[in-house]
Amino acid sequence: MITQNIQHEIRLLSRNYWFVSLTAVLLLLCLYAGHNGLQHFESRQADLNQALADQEEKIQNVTSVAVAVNNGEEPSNAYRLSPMNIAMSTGELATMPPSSMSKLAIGQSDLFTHQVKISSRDDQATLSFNELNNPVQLLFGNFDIAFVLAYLVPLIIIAFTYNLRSQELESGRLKLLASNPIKTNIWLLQRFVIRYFSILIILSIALLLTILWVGIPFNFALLTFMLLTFAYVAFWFGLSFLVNIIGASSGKNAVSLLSLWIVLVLILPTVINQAANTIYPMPSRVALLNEIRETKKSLSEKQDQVLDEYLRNHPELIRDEGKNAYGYWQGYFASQELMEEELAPLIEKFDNQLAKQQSWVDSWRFLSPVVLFQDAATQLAGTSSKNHKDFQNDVKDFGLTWRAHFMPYVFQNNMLKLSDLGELPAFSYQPKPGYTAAYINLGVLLLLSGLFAIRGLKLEGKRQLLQVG
Amino acid sequence: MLHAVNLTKSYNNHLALDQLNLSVEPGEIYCLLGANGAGKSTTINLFLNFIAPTSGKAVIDQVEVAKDPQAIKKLIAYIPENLVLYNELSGLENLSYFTGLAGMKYHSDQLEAFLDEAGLQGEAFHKRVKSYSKGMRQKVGVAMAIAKKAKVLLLDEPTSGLDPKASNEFSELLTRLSNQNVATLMATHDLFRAKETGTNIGIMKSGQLVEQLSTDEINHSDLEKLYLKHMNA
Repeated sequence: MITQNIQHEIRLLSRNYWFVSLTAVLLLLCLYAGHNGLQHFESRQADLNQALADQEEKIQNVTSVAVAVNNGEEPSNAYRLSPMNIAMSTGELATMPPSSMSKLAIGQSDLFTHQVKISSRDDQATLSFNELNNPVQLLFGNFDIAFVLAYLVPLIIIAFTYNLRSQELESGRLKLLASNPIKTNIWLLQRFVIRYFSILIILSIALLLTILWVGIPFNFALLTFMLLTFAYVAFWFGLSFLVNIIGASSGKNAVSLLSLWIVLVLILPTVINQAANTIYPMPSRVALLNEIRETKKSLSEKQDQVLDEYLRNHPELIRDEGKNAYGYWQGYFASQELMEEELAPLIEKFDNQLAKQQSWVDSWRFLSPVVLFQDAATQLAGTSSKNHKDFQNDVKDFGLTWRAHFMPYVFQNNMLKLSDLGELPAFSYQPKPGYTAAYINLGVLLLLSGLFAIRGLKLEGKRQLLQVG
Repeated sequence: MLHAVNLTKSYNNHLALDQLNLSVEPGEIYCLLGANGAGKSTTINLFLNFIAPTSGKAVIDQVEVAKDPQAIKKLIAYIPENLVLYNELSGLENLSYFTGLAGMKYHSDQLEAFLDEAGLQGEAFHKRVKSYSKGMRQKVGVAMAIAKKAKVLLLDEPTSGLDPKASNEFSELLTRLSNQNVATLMATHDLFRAKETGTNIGIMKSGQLVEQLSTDEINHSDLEKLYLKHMNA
């Protein structure tokens, strides 16, 4: 029967103008979405390149001064070698370069900063990341490949499968088919499987053309993304198969499937995110900013006291010249650490709430296939909120390393030498593709589609063809 | 070959078929006559296992239909009132698909021979079915029965809506198949066609078989009178 059905479906689909037209539309959608992803990638890359060039220029300027000093000259801009200047003005640029996979799933990358100037001017605890609210609430984002796959492809699947059984029943052809020695549940499943692979082939061609066009190397992440897509498509086919069997008429099937699409794709993700905000509300950001201002003001008013306390905790930084050896900058640097300690509980409150929100969304993501797909796709592309959180943590850690590196110079009042410039800490971000999460989500999608298929097979197998109800 | 033994079907306290007993032997064409709702189609659907009997049994070739429907469906061919085929496929492609589902494999020249035997014009073989008349579609149905080498033919008002010429051609095909020992059970409203084509006639009313007779025993006029008598009773 499978050979007949394959030949039959190919004949029917190739003569179905709707199918041919929608194949063309799907191809165009993928190419357009790929174009958007590419533009976003290039724009982000250009921003980074510009920022890196500016940073390089600053380092070159400082290096040229250091070379001059090293050669025994006394340049007028020798102040540039002061630890305060290099720690705060020259600084270090922390960047999160876009992965080529981000051309497929822009994810949160247009909401989060992907370059941070590391400078001892700012307290690292309150770096200006503006996402101290739940980032997942903006799931519906750019028109990229992930959007086409997550939101539009299910509609195409619904359009081509909603009436596979009911159309046969309504026309009376199902009786003719069932008068042959076939099991209608197996016959229907075969038609679904054949259509699944037909859509998969078309989708693969559209994706491969897009991937070649936008230039994504073939690697494990891309393979996982393709497998994830196949699993997501299987979920919708499985759901449609079950609805076909439970449903009474083509009209009811179409309404049921579209309602399920609305619930699973639009309503559930929103409800999950809103519930996260309601259950774990974020503390007031205004209150946090006020607290930071107040702490800064109070610490600057008692800078001498702060410095004394700091030196008690860091005796290795004490110079022989006595207390008068220290000025404004030593007090400033010392107060930063103290401020971080004082603000830590407040920042922790924000971080905890955010972590709880994220954990809530993570635990309920199994309710919505689109959340499962988006979550896995953005993790593979390195553009998920988790990837950005990793970047933020790396930046915060590096900020502390950066300041700690300059403390001895500041307190010893030493200028940096040419050799010191080569030993400055360098930031590097190592993206961690979320393969585990991707394969868990992929597995859940496949499991659900399998369960739908088994349930459908049992229901159809048990009932009589013309059974009422 | 085909037997209904106290075959009964009820839906929510409505008795659609009440203790039906009938037999159709190889080579016989048994015509079930009756008004709408008399139970003719219910009988056909029970023999096809599209519905389950409430009590009694439908038996084909000594096998109870409800117990082994897959085995039974290898023996039967079914032609409904409106034979709905795949409009985007040709008659030949439709025949190829349906015979394939029946587990038969034929080359296209063999399939063409079946269509030819069923009386379809050669130039229509490769035309899409959407351009076919009802009579042409019914001929594809007969070709399916021939290709399937069916021992039992179940027909549910197959000549309804056919013009007299097409209806006559269809009757000739049935006669030819019955000469090949095919047992045929046909539900119909067409008294004339039943008398001309059938070997036996059963008149049904309110789910019961109220009259059974051989077509040799009665002429057209008496058959009509008998039918109306039962309908008006």
